[in-house]
Formats: sequence, C-alpha cells, structure tokens
Amino acid sequence: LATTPRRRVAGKKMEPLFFRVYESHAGREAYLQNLVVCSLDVVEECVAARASSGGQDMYLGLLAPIDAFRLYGYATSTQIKFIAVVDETARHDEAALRKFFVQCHDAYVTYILNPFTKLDATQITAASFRAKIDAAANAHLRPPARPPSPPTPS
Amino acid sequence: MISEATFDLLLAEAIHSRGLSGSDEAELQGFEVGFRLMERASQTRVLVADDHLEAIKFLCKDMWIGIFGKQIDKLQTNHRGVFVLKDYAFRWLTRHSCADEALSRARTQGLLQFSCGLLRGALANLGSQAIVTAELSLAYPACSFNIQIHTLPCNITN
Repeated sequence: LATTPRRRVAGKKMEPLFFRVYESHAGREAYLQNLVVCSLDVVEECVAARASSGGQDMYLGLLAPIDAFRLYGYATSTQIKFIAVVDETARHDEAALRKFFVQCHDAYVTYILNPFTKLDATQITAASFRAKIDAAANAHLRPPARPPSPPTPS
Repeated sequence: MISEATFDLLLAEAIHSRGLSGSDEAELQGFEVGFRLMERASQTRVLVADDHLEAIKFLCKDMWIGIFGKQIDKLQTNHRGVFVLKDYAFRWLTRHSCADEALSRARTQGLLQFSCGLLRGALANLGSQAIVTAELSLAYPACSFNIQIHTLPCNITN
C-alpha cells in the first residue's frame, strides 16, 4: 500500500511556510493545498477547545476525512501548525503520527534556533529542514517497503 | 559544559564594544534571541495564545531558570496587562561594579536594553505584543522589568 503523506507547516498568519508532497500525488499540489486550507478552521477549533479544557497535548489528532484523504494536525505553543495529509487506505496508528509530528516540530525548532534564518520569512527554503521532514516521513509514515540497501563502501 | 562566567563577560563586552548603548540595536538583537529561545523553551509545553499571565509566569520560571539560572524574585501585576518582574540579583549585572553609581547605570544601558528585547521577543513568539522597559531603581544589582501587554489584537511579529 502506497502511503502519500504530505506535510504543511502553517505560520502565525496562517500562511504556508513549507509544503511537501510525496510519491504519486506529486501532480496534485494545488488540490492538496486546498484541502489543507479547508482544514485550518478545524485546527482553530481544536486549539480553542484545547485552550478551554487546559489540555497539554500538541497533537490534535484526526482533523477531518476529506475525499480520499485523512488530515491530521499538530499545533505548537508558538502558533505554528503542522498538517499531514495521508491516503485513507494507509492505516497509521496514533503513535506513529505523534512521533512524526514531534520530529517535524524538532526540525522546526532547530531551524528557528539558527540565527541566520529570518524571523519574518514567508517560506522555509533550508535544505536541511526539508531533509529532516523527509526523514521523519520516511521513518513514520511509510510502511517498510524493501530491505535497506547495503551501506556503500567509504 | 559552557563556562557561564565567560559567557556573561563575553556578552557584556559584545554589547559594549559595538557601541550599542543608547541605540535600538541592542533591543532588536535581544528580540531575535528571545524569540528563538522561546521556540525551544515552549517545545514541550502547551501555552494558550491569549493567556498573558500564564505566558509571563512561564517566562518568570522556566525561561528565567534556563537563561539566568534562577527564578524571578517577585512578580506583580495589576491584572490589566501590566506586569512588573523584579530580580534582586540580575545575573548580568552582578559582575558590573563601579564606585560611581551613575556611571555604572550608564554603562549597563546596552545590556538592559538587550534584556528588554529578550523578554519582548519571547512574549511575541507566544502571541503577546508587549512593551518592555527596565529600571534600576532598586539596590544594585537588582533590576525590575516593566512589561505592558498590548491588548489590541494585531498580527505583527516584530
């Protein structure tokens, strides 16, 4: 089963800071972007609910099933939102998604701690950030496909 | 492990030698540092966006311990968006001593502006726009920070 995770980091003003599409859904960026924009309302509701209930969980869980996808959310204390769009045929347990989001959050914190990044940047273009998100997606959102290739001799 | 004494001296010298006292640059640099540090500090803790008191309390405890190794000694508020944070032994001032009090106040302006910017940046990342000023009215090296939160909703981060 092919999983097609897609990641999006939304900034404080709800603008997308980072957007990444994997595998066969590479040609549908605009459509997938729309899905994410639709889900931002749900994210806001979840965050408000979390605020009033005093919850301590950054992971928001399943936001909505839309069409053939399921959207999962995660919101930090600094109003950064992460949204993952996953094929509905792929079954991910909560633990895997949580680990994925925590790794993405970690990548973002590392990115921000770099004093050379601009605080008011509208896009995250750092290759290391992209690599970390890819690694997180590979580790937690894909089923093990084939045995890892043997290490190349140095 | 980092030598804290070395870092304190380096920071003071960096601000002083760049001639930043009296200009806005020290405050802006502090803003960047505080903003970034808050991202790390709040990584494992959920903080609500408009709860200014919780944000300030988080600043007084967790962040102050992280940066200065101790908590804020006294926190006062008028519950209308004004907070006064008093540190009776502000870490970055404890190494400055000068017979002439007026002179020592003048020399530490840059450091205090940097600290104000640090607090402003940390709060800004949590969604609280604030004006931060510092006062040396208490016995040196005590210092008090006056934080005034804007209650108007606004989206600027700088």
